Amino acid sequence: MIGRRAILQAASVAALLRSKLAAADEVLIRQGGSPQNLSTPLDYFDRLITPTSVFFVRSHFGPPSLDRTRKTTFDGLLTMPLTLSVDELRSSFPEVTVTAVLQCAGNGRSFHRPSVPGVQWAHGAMGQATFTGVRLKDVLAKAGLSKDALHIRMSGADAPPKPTVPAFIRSIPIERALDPSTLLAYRMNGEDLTLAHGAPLRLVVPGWAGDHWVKWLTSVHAQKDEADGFYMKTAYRMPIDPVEPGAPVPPEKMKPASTFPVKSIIARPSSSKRPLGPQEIVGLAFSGVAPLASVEVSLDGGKTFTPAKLEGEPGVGRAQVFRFRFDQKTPAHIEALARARDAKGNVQPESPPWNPSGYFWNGWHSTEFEVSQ
Amino acid sequence: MSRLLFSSVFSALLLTACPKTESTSPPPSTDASAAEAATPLATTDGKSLVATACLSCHSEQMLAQQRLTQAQWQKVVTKMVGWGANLDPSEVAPLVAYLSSTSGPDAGPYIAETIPASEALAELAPLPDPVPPGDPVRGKSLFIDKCSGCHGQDARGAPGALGVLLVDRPFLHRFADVAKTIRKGRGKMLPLSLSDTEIADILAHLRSLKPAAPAQ
Repeated sequence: MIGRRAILQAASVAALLRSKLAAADEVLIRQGGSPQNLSTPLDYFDRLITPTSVFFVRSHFGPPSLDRTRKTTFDGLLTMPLTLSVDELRSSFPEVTVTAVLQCAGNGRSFHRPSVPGVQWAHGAMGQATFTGVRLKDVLAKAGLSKDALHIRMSGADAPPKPTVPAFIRSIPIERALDPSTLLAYRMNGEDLTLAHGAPLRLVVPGWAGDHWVKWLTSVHAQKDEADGFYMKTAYRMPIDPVEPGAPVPPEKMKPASTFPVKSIIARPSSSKRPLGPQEIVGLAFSGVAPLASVEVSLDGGKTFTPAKLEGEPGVGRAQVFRFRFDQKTPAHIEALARARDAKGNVQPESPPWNPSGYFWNGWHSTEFEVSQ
Repeated sequence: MSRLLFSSVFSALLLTACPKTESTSPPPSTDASAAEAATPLATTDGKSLVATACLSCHSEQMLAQQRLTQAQWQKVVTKMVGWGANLDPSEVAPLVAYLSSTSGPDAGPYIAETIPASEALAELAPLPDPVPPGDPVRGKSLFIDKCSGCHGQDARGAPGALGVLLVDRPFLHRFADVAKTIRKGRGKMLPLSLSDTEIADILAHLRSLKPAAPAQ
């Protein structure tokens, strides 16, 4: 069991290091070199839009070359298969912008016990951005989607390093593909997609984990069945029912990991020491299942909670900023923790169930600091 | 690319806010294999195996941040061998032992480095070639002679071959990185003494190759 003193020491050291971070230029946390896996520092979760320059990056194989003329093929159970570039998509379909959270399914994996293999993300494999593109449903309609098509399979130009390594292929059920928020996006935060974020075209599936947001998209295939392959049948699956931590889970007891659960993350205060007077706890909260309903903050270790103020528009898979202010008139050690709730009544748990791949960590998040003269 | 591949700098960053009941300390050991995993081992061979078997596709950070028991490492390495890792059967056990000793449950906190956001962007950016454009015909001939034995005739790797995909990759547009890898070698790849002109020819050939058809 990790002692409270150890937690405090870790938080104090971390706060010291973070204060240096705040004074520096924009930075990312390196989780992997080549391929790039980069995490967003907590500091940036005090606002509705995460800047692209510090937006987390996840890739299995690394990107292909940058080619903004790269085309995407739409085929399978379609009466009129299409092959279109971004320019052709833009000129053929209405342009739409959505604001949505992009979060890796493995965000928070490092907090699961026992440890599981994979990128050991802390909190930074998430962010919110505006994504601009065209609706997938519009393109599928023009291509003559068959009623026999029940799944849409996607793959990108990021080929595996060896032919013996399984390709990254994902599919989404047809109802999710036809949701008006599902986009073929070519812009992020008002700029052309960068290579790391999928240029020239990526899928956007608000509320669903990042593995569905296929980057460098080159193939959209309508088919009857869910896609095969390692990244569908083995990876990105969760136990249907909670399991004992560390226990093996047979495949028939697993289901696809799709929507991410309700969650809040505290961004500030980012300093371990604060002067007496007004204090403010700020962070981001969201749910992939329903719009956010509330965020509450506790200053007594989770015994009592008080609602925080929310900023921004509610939506499925859309983050809002929460802000909780209080006045601290006497010196004290403060531990603040946040708990979010969505409109379907899902409440952020103190600690989520363990799962073999370490997906969807959404335990209570806390910060500690000293208030003194 | 090379700087990334061989980077071993891990500067400090811890996160201020913590999960309610967790810290950034390592997870506690959960099974008997952890004690075995924590046993110090001779590292020279293990390091060498990591370089030849793992770093073709993974960065050092990806390995260093894991905190896995010997049983978990065994499962991971077995999966990677199935996917074509450059590892002889006799090398599996020493590699697993090494990884278990260096990145086991009791290895201590992993401290990730931070990098300037501009650096992350620059790592993928194409750079102007320092020499005139190469000749793809000469380059193809050179590639077949010097590279295809490991990277495959079509530069896409081959089952059982050591080399990785060399088509449609950002590093093909970063001459200096490619030249460094060729001249210094990497993993099981031996150094090759090629001139700038010869490297430019090979790059002209590789850049002319079309991406593979979308995965099915």
